[in-house]
Amino acid sequence: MEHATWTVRILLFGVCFAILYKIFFAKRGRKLFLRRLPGLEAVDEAVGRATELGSPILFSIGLGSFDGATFASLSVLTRVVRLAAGYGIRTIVPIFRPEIYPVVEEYVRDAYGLGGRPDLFDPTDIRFYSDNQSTWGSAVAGTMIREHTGAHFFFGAYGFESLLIAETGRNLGTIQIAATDSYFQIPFFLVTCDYTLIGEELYAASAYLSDDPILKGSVVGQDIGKIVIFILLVTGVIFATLGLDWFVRLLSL
Amino acid sequence: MRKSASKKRLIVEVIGVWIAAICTLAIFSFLIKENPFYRLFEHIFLGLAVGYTVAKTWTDVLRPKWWDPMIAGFQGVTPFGWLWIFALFAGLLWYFQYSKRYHWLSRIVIGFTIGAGAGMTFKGVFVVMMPQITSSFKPLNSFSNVFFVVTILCVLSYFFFSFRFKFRPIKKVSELGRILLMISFGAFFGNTVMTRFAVFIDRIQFLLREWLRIGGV
Repeated sequence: MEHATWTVRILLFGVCFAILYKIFFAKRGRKLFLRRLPGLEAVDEAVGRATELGSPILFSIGLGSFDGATFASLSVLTRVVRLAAGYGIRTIVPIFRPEIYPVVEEYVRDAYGLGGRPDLFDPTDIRFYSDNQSTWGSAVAGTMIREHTGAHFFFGAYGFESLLIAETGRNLGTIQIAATDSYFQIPFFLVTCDYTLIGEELYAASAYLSDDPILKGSVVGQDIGKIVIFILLVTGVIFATLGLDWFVRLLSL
Repeated sequence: MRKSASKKRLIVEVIGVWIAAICTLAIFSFLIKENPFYRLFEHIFLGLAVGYTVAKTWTDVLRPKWWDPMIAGFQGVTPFGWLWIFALFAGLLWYFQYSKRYHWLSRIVIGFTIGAGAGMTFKGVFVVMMPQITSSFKPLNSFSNVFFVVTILCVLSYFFFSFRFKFRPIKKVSELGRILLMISFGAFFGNTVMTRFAVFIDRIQFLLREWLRIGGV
């Protein structure tokens, strides 16, 4: 088992402290700045497009289980379902992991309530298809065609099935927004979706759209962590160029 | 006797090839348009996958990690193996999702699972990230190292979300980061498309060689 050195522990606690400090800062009602991402305006536009068509929305939270990408996706899902419910539009959520199903159901039920249309909530719109990627991809593609979905959201973690589902949506001419931290799948979303959020933009998007102080504070706190990493990288490169390796040893696990 | 056994095996093989070929054609038919043939096989595929998962969960997880140690505990082979019975009660709490009155019980186990997931993710990120940072400390003694360091710093600056890039050069660095990301995505794309073509060619070879017997087996 790997254990961290004292330097790494200090760094870790420093970054955690920065995140917690910013969360408390945001919870006290202080304003935190988050830069607007281009794909975010499109969320409202996509819901509007589905409303014009009178078609349901398909929102996929990806293949993840109880991880960061899934929870970031669930925040955006809440916003989309709430907005769509206000216009009387259903949201279909295909599920890949069975264990996440009850959590998604809770989120969606609450979101319909927040949108003022709890009557619109239909448990059959949250659909567990399979935890096999090919099968799940085929089922999602089939659902897009059979349900005539008016907008597609692909948030969370994805594997090779990303192109299968996003290309089907593209062929149907449906507006599509993707946000994933699965780096190998980003190119496929870039070529098939109208808007794609890259990597960590997924987390920033969830903080921005949900306006949750915990998420916002967390993103701003992580930025402090990134500055620390930036400084470490510059310092490490200088030491490596000078042929000194003690800095690497200092930060090794 | 041996001749009849090999004949039976051959018949089973031929039936297997025909089923695989029909399945392949059914799924490929989606490329033309969504049709009942595709829909039928999509649902067969779904049913098979779920059945397979249930069986696999029992044989790979529940039986070796829960059932066998618990039975060994009850038989006195292992001293505290019987304690695994409590895992059953914890697992059953999930099913209170279907009870309006005792719905809150399921939240206990859901909360526990989310907490465990968050803890493991935190540890995972930390263990993965630190070696990546230290291995990025490259001496600036070659073009590839300089390019690597410039790329990593530019891309990192692109992912700062809480800063207003008022200072023009920093904004340019961030924009350069985005361009460099797009170049790497282009490389990923080309690489993955080639892999997908390899999979497609494998299927076509199967249809031609093993099913239609064109081009030799």
